[in-house]
Amino acid sequence: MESTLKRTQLFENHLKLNAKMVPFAGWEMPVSYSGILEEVMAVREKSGIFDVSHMGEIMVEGSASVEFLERVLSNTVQTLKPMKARYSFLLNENGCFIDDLIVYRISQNKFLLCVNAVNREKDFGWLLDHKKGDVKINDLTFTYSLLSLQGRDAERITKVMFNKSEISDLTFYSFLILENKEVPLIISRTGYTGEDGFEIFYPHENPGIIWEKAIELGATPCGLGARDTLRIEACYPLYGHEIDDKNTPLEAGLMRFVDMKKDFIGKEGLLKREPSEKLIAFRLKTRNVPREGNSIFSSNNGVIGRVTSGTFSPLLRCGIGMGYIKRKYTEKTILVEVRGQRIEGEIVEPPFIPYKVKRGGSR
Amino acid sequence: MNVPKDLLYTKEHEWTKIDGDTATVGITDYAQHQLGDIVYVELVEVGKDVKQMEKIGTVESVKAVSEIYSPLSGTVLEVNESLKEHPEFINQDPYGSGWMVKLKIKDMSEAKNLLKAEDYEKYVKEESK
Repeated sequence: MESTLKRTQLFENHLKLNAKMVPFAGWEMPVSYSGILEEVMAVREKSGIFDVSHMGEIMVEGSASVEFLERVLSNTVQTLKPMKARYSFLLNENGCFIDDLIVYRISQNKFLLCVNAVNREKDFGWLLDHKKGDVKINDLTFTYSLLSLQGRDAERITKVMFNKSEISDLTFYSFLILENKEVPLIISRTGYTGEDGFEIFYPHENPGIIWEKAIELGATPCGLGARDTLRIEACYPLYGHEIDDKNTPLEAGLMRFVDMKKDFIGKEGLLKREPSEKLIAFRLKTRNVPREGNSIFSSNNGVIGRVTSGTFSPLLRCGIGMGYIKRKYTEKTILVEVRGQRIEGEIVEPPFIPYKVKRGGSR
Repeated sequence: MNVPKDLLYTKEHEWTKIDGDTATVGITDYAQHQLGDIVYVELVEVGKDVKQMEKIGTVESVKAVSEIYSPLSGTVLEVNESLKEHPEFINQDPYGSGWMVKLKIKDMSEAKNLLKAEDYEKYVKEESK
């Protein structure tokens, strides 16, 4: 089993830093280096760098690519300008999630999709099955390394690394291309932490140069453990937790990433669906850590739902999480059953932390 | 991995320091490292009588939960209250400020069921292979 795990090109760099390695979506990935909480705080206060090369990159190009993507993506690419990116979903006929992704418009008829590692092959197959006309689809996952540099120092570090002043002009969900080749080097102002930051799609065989340089310039190496706590604090959904093939953007409260004015696979399913649940964010009164699958109860002890993700927030000093509960439930107080004890919690408006992303142009 | 020579150990990764008829209990350096950042600690009440290997607490880290077992039978004399606010003491100093429970030992002969430092070290090396 372990021998079949895939490794990123930075594997040796992680071992050198004494990372704790774990299997994740078929890859052997670093879960932490110095400790999850320290890494979370580094991103919130300074900067951190993550190896997320396990994520999938799928290139879609050809004269029919816009038409094709309009059909398979929930969000529109028609109005997306080149050098801008957009968050979107792949939905099945019922409107349920196949995956969530970011689509980057490289040029008029060339797009890069960044998808979850766990769904890469499923997504790729789905895209091939629905391809029509002049569309080429290429899986570039093993060509690209993906480094995510997040936190308030990320702009300074990225500018020094690539010696490009234009990096400062980028706003959230815009990107620039450093090497305009068939497989370009992309620096995009995106992330999964709620902080300002950049993701670097690096197509060469020596990503260790970038990794080591970022650390030398002050970035803390961060693992998937910190990434999970950061994204929960930011209330970003994760496939297999908040979103999966049983629910839709209606339950998940993500309809702002669905363009109901166009036709796409899943639209009819969404129109027919009457959601009975809603996704909520909650904090506990204690330091207990809510875990996926924990039951959620109403204040008078009736079961109303379940936890999809939970963690300890080092900023709030308490357990936080997300979960699905009955749509009808309108009270603020809930009880979460952690290891047999019902712990009082409060439903809060997401996110738990203020977003620090650099807003600007359209999304 | 730090395994002090003057302590006794369990296969569940608790340590105990015997001082007269009192035993101080905590979790080992190996255990805290395996768990990662500990964020929540729950301990038995003072005055409770516990049997050898009976549960005396729970620790939670960001990624895992672990039960704590008593290396010896006895009466709980004291619990480390500072861990409620500072569970990170267990990560920072598992054999010092991260101690968890003090017991009045009921049956000293039970100590023969515990591992000496070199045996614990061997056990951990086997387990982590």
